[in-house]
Amino acid sequence: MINVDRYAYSSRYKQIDPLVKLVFTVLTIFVCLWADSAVLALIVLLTMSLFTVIGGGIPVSVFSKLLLVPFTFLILAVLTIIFNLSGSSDSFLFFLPLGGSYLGVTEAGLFLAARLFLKALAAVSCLYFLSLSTPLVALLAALRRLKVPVLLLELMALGYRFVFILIETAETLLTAQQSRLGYAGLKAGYHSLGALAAMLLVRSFRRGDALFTALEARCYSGELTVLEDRYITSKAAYLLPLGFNAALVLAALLIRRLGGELFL
Amino acid sequence: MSSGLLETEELYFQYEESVPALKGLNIKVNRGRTTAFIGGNGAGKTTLFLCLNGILKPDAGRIYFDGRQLDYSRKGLTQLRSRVGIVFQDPDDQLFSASVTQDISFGPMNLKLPEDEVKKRVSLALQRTGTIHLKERPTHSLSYGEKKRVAIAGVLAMEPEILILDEPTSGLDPGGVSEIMKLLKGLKDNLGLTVIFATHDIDLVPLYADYTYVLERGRMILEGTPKEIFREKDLLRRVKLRLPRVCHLMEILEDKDGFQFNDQAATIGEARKVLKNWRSSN
Repeated sequence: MINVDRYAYSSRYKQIDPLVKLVFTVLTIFVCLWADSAVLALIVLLTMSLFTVIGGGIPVSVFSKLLLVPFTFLILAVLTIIFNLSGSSDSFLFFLPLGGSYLGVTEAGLFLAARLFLKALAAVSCLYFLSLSTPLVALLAALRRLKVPVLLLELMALGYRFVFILIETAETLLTAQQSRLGYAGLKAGYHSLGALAAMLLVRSFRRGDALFTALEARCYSGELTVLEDRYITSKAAYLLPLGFNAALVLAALLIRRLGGELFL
Repeated sequence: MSSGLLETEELYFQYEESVPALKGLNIKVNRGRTTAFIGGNGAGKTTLFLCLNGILKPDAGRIYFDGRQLDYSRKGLTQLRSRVGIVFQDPDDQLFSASVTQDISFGPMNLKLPEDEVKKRVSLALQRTGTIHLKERPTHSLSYGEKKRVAIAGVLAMEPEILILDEPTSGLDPGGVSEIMKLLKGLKDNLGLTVIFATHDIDLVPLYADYTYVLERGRMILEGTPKEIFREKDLLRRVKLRLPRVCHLMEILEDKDGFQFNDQAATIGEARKVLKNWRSSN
């Protein structure tokens, strides 16, 4: 998570208006899910990868490692779709007899699984494109322009700032516990983990108090008003996201027209 | 006696269900001076600072800023806090935004200044604290020393007349300590800022403070120029403080090794002068 953040700050797309990137990401995800096509998902996956790696300058190794993150979930989900239980073995490509019924794989199941797999991965790649090109502060500025409630945005901003401190604190406490053999043995481990959680809660409350005091000292009046970055963007900047997605929609319609189980 | 820029009279404060933190404190901070507060843990330094900024309201006693008693109305507090800025000990308590620029802009935005003015102040504060190169960086990627500077910038952007710092050098490496102290000295010399700081680092006091208060358990037990207070060796030691190292060395040289100096020395510069005098008189 921390790495993603660091790469977002180093991306060549950092200066681009976050709202444009947000529109691009969200539109593409929707089109990709709507089209429900493996080929289209593949196109989206490739485009987003190229944009992120070649355009944004994010190392391939980083991007591919991140893509591997949802793999466990994806494979588990896909497995449950591939395998079907049925009374007869007629429609199965191959199967295992299991008591009175059969556990097997159908052609339709395979295609469905492949489609789902690619669709999910493509959607994830869209999100990675956004998070590897847009620091959260910029994203919040974009959301503010979309009139998302300020309270929600302030919570997000504070959460983002303090999650790093929370992790740091947890790591320090963990090290301190480990150095005193807090995790030698299962029982000690559970005990230490409980103590760690309790301590983190206490520290978080203390931090919250201290933060409030410090904000008050700078004339806090209930709203975290700060200088917002201004992005000067012409409407033309939205042409790329809109054009790309229009092309995707056309491609999807074309694939449907041509039909063919293979393309689905 | 002339009146100070910031004064307290018989200040009392007690946190809930605890021993009193301030017990009749009288202090006076003069304009354009650097005032140090020293004292062991729990001496009341932080509590005093929070009172001076109007965060805590004393149970009894009065605080005067620029000759006027503090006004605890919303408007009065905003005015006070724009003129008396406080930098907290732990910069992570103070920096709430992931963006350095946005954090620094928070104070001036709250003063309802026009955006151009806020921008001007932010870039000036970045310049004055030597943090311009950090403005595009996310807060959590900064080092501790860098965070301290940004925290100072966040208060400077409000352009206060008094800058209060609670242990500005704690947790810094020796290089960081001298950088921060030089920064404070620069602010005082160039902007005429009145600086108040609390510290456990006694050696900083003779170098940077014009006036010093020694607190112990909510009371002021000693005040004066650094020279004056470091004459009270026994009292300082009794309240778990000590002399600056150089003072201590000079004391040992006189007591144990038979040297006789004609003046007191608390810094290396002063010690050199005293020792040169001693050599030429022998």
